[in-house]
Amino acid sequence: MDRFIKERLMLLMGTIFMIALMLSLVVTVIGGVYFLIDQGMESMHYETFVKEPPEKSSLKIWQDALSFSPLNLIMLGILILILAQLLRIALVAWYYLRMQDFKFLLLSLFLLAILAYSLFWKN
Amino acid sequence: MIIPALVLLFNVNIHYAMGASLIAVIATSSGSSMAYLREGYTNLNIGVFLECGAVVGALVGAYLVSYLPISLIAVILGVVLIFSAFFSLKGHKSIPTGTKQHPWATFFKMNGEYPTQEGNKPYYVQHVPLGFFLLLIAGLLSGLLGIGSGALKVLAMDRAMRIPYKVSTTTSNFMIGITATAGSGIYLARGYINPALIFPVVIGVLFGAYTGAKILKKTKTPTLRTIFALVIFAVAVEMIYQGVTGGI
Repeated sequence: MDRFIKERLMLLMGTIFMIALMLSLVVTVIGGVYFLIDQGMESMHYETFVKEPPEKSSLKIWQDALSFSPLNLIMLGILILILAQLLRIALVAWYYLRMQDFKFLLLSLFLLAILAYSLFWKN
Repeated sequence: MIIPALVLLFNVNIHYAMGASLIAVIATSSGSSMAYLREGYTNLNIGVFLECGAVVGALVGAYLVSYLPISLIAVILGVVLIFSAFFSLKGHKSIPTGTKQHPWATFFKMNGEYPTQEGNKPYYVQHVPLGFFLLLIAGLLSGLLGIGSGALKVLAMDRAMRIPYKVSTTTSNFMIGITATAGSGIYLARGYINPALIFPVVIGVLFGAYTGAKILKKTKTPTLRTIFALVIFAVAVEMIYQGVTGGI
């Protein structure tokens, strides 16, 4: 396969992934600053792990995150960061498809399936 | 190091510390991996193939967290840290890359070339099944402890599979974020990922990475490596002690 096409695909993958990362960082920082203004003076207690029964589904986490409270904005940033990784593997799969390398296309789809399963296992 | 720092210094519960560490791992590994991919060192085929084992391990590891006692997790983390300190202190000695063709490496098109001062040099990947198994273990530890397992990944590729060091480290960097993501869904659902705790950790990691890179230019690597290894070793012993005595 043409080295030029290969390099262009890599560049495109890198750019899309970087945009997703930047978005995640911006949302996290906005949420964090908002959180500091809102509750910055309160002391925190994380000595004991508070189990939240039942385990939350990712759908519920997404719904909560989109309610735009300070903590939920940080959570939205974290979710975007996690989704960016799924996007990265989807781009790798697309790259192999363009390269007509079906063996590795299958392997990257397997990776994508495992990541998606982890993210949505409680739904 | 994020987990012991949060647990031992700030008295944070180990589950929250593991969640914060896992997200920090994803954030730091993401930043540079795409840049490396363009430089021509990262071998995408090796990364994707080995990652198939690592993500399965990570999923199982993350699932096991809630079934294992916290003290056992602390002891395992301590032992992993001691190994990291040992290999960090030992430094890297370059070993010759393999010359024979492994059938799996040929089938999965893993053999490649890497840029050197004398032009591109070919390398032939060895012991593929062993490497795959080690990556499965690295994934398991990543999910179980909320770490990146970068040292074990590099060790598997560099020592077992005889992949050139630079290719091993950059390919490992590409893989770390994906492995950590495989465990993150389960961590999220179980409530280990706490946004209020993660915000300062992510800011700290980003700030640390920026200033660290600047300090690194002025510091002698062997000195830095020794200090780093000694600190990790001390923290690891404390972690094991706290785990055994039930202090965590």
